Formats: sequence, structure tokens, C-alpha cells
Amino acid sequence: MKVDKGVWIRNIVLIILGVLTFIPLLMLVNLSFKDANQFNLHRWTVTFPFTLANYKDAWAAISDYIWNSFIISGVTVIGVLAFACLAAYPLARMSFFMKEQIYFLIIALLMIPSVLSLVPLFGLVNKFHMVDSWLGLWGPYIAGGQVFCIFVLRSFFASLPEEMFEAARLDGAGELRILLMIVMPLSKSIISTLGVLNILNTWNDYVWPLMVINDAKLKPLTLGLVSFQQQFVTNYGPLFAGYVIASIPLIILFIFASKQFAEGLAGSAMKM
Amino acid sequence: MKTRGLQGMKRWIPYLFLAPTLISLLTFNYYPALSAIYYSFTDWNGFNAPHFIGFDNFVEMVKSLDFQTGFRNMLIITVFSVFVSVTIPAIAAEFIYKIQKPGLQHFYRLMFVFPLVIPGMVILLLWQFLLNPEVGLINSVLSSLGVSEEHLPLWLGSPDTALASFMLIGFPWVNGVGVLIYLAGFQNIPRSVIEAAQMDGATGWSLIWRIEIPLITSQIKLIAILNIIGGIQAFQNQLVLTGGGPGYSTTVPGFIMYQSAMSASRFGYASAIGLVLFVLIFIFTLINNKYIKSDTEYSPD
Repeated sequence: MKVDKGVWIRNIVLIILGVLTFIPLLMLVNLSFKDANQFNLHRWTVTFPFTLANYKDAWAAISDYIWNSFIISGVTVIGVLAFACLAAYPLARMSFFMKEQIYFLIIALLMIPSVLSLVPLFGLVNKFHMVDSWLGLWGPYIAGGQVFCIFVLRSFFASLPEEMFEAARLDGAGELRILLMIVMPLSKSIISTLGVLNILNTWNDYVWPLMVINDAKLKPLTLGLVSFQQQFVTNYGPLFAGYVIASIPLIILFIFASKQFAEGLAGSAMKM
Repeated sequence: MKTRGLQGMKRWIPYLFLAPTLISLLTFNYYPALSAIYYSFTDWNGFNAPHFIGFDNFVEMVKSLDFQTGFRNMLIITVFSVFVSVTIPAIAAEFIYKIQKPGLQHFYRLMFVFPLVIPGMVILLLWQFLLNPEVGLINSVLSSLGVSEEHLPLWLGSPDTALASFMLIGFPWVNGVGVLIYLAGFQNIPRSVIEAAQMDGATGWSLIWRIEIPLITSQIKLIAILNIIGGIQAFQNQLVLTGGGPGYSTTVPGFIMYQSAMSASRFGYASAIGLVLFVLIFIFTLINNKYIKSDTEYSPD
């Protein structure tokens, strides 16, 4: 009997926490289907008919930003993973002069928070004439994003069995070929977890694009959402429809990667 | 000859592989980080040559009233965020862990992880609406509970409640990453330890306090340090919601840094603020690393 009671209490507390967590999100979806009248009269209840035109208006205003973010995050994640695999491989599987020092030089950056370099980095990007260009995002994103990936990939690559590498080298395979044909396919799941984490970071970044991008045509989604909110101010239906649309790309990513995502997130956070 | 040439080239392969990484890190990470230290002692405006002024930036910072207010706000926000993100996900994870049905565990885990994929900006703008004094959900609930019109809070609009509103954002603060980290910690506790404790008569609360919490201290420390680092640096809410106001009620040093650089072109002063925040974070990280290292090592899986 006593055990039973404990189980009930736990379930109830978890459900309450879950409901409270989801209320804002459910309200978001609910409000996105309302016209002005429904919003004013029955704001917190479900009303019919659904005003689907909200989504049409919102999509027209927001789709370009989604596309921009798509390219910004896409190029970044490809760059990050390419740089990180190339760097992690020799650090894990080859011996060369200054190896430990080079590894330390890379990993030490995990201890340096972005707040230190934010302002001088802007000065630098400004000097390179990368302001108002996606190069000003890609450069720092790829440089900064690779550090954690190298840290994780180096230990993963090091754990692969040595015989495989010997066999491949005896067959005359070059190092790049070994990396591309053997190491990377074997590391697919860890690489994709790191990729998802990187996409999440760049997709959600606000401060750096705010500093670098002024041109409305080049803005990523985070900046776009703020302009979008100023444009629709109290036109709440389309505003919330826009927020829903903005959430969909990451939800799709989550559905595809949910298992790895949940495990990889906990695993990689543990390693920090 | 040919093999020697090949050998010679082979020696360069590791460096070739590392070249993109090293070049990009030196350019976009090391150079700005090191120059931040130098700029901190100058009155650089971002365009002209920096001019050395010694410790003037730091003296100004310490004397400045908005920096002091900002520093106090940052401490309040950070302490609060550390407190809720250490405790609430731990409670959620403990309850999930104790529910012995895998299907149900999976469901609850998914429930708390899902909100992580909603873009942070959407969550922030949504909370801005929930906190809206006229049309927002929170005041609607308060007035349906019988709070009269003139007593409804202005939330982000009043200096008395703006900082509290910032802390309210994210209620009930069940952070998905925290839940996952704690859950991994609980699941790593060997069954034999729990069983031995139960044999010795530990049940319910004493099991939690004496056995489980001591065995997840490395998770607690990890979450605490991540939130300390995040709290010291964060100023996105200020940028989006309040601009540091009303008055200086929600300003923080990071936000002052941003404003000094981007609005006032005072890159030297901004760099100095960045340097102070970095030193603060570095001290916390060192303290934390010292303790984490001495702890039980968890192997992944």
C-alpha cells in the first residue's frame, strides 16, 4: 500500500510539472488559430473556426528568415564537422612533433568564454569587411564550434581498434582515405549527435548576428522573429502562427534525431 | 628517392590536417581573446589606433553606478538560476528514476526534453506575451483569482517587478538538459549500493539524502557551474525584452558591455568589462574543476 502511494505522488507531481511546462506552448498553438475577435473575446479557450489565414500571412513574412538560418546553420555544421574530423584524426591516431601542445592549444579554448572575445572579435570582423555578410557568422561559428567536437571526436577515434588501421595502411590507403572510408562511417552516430548540437547552437544564436548583420535580407530567424514581432505588434494571430512556423524546423530535426539527441546531449554534457 | 619524397610528405600530413583548425582558431579565437586583454587598457573606439590609458577603464567601471547595479542584478539572477536549475530538474529526474516502468520513464523524459527544441527566441517572445499586463495569461489568471485591476503587476514594465519577471521566465524551470544529466547520474548508481543501503534499513528520505544525493554530486556541480558561466555572460533577455530598464532595474554587466561597444563605440571600456567577466568565470571554473576531479569518475555507459 505504501509503495503504491509513492508512485501516485510521483506521477502526479511529474504530470503537474509537465502541464505547467506545456501550457505556454499549448497557448501558443491555440492563439495562432484565432482572429482578432476570437482573441479579444475567448482568448484562453479553443475557438472555432480556426483562422488558417494567420499561417499564410506569417509564412509570407517569415519564410525568408527560415531559409537564411537554414543556410547559415547548414554551412556552419558542415564546416565544423569537416574541420573537427580532420583535426581529431591525427590527434587520435598519429604521432608527430608538438602533438600534445597542439591539442592543449585547442582544448584550452573550452575554458575561454565567448564574453571575453566578443567585442574584439567584432572589431576583427569589421576590419575584414565581413560585417553584413554571412562570412562574419560562418568564420567565428566554425572556429568556435569545432573545439568541443574535436574534444569528443579525438577520444572516440582513439578508441577504434588499431588492427583496422594497420590493415588499411598495408593495403596502401592514404590517411585521408582511411579517415573518409573507415573512421567517419564508424563514427556516424557521434558525428551526427555533434552536428545536431551545433545546429541547435547556431540556429538559436541572437547576440552575434545582431552585431554583425544589419541588412534585413540577410537576417537569420532569431533576428527575423524580433523584426516580425515589431511588424505585427498586436496582430496576435499571425504573430503566434509565425512563432509556430519558426519552431517547426527544429522539431523535424528532433524527430529524426530524437534518440541520439537525448542520449548524446546527456553524454556530451557529462564529458565537459 | 621516390619513397624518401613520400616519407617527407607523410611527415607533414598531421599538420596539413590540423591547418584549417589552427588557422581558424588563431584568427577567430586566440587573436580576439588576447587582444581583449590589451584593449582593456586602452580607449579604443573600434576604428582609430587604440591609445593606452592604464587602469582607467577598470576604475571607471568600479565607480559607475549602472555597473554596480548591473553587477548586483547579475548576482541575483545567477544565484536564482543556479538554485532552480540544480533543484527542480533533480526532483523531476529522481521521480522519473523511481518510476520503474520503462515506457512511462521514456514518456516523461521526452516530455521534459521536447521544449529544448523550441527556439529560445520563440520561448522568450512567448513569455513576453504571457507577462503582458493587459492581454497576458498571467494577469488573466490573477484577475480571475480576484486580484483587482489596480493591483495587477506591470511585470516587465515596472522597475519593481522587472527583475522578478526575468526570473519567472521559464516557470516551472524543469530544464530538459538538467533532467537528462541527473537521470544519467541516478541510473549510474549501482543497484548493489541501493540494495545494501536498503538492507541496512535506509528507506525513502534517508535513502535519498544519505545515498543518492552524495552519489550525484558531480552532476550537481556540473549543472551549477554551467549555470554560473551562463548567468555571468547572459544578456539576451535584456536585449530583447527590456533594454536593461525600466531605469537600470534589469541591466547586467554583459549588457553594459554590449551597449558600450555597439552604441557608444567604447570598445576599450567594453573589452575591460568582458575581461572582468572572464576572470570571474575563470575563477569559478577553477574552483569547480578542482572539486570535480576529486570525485568519482563516471564512465560513459
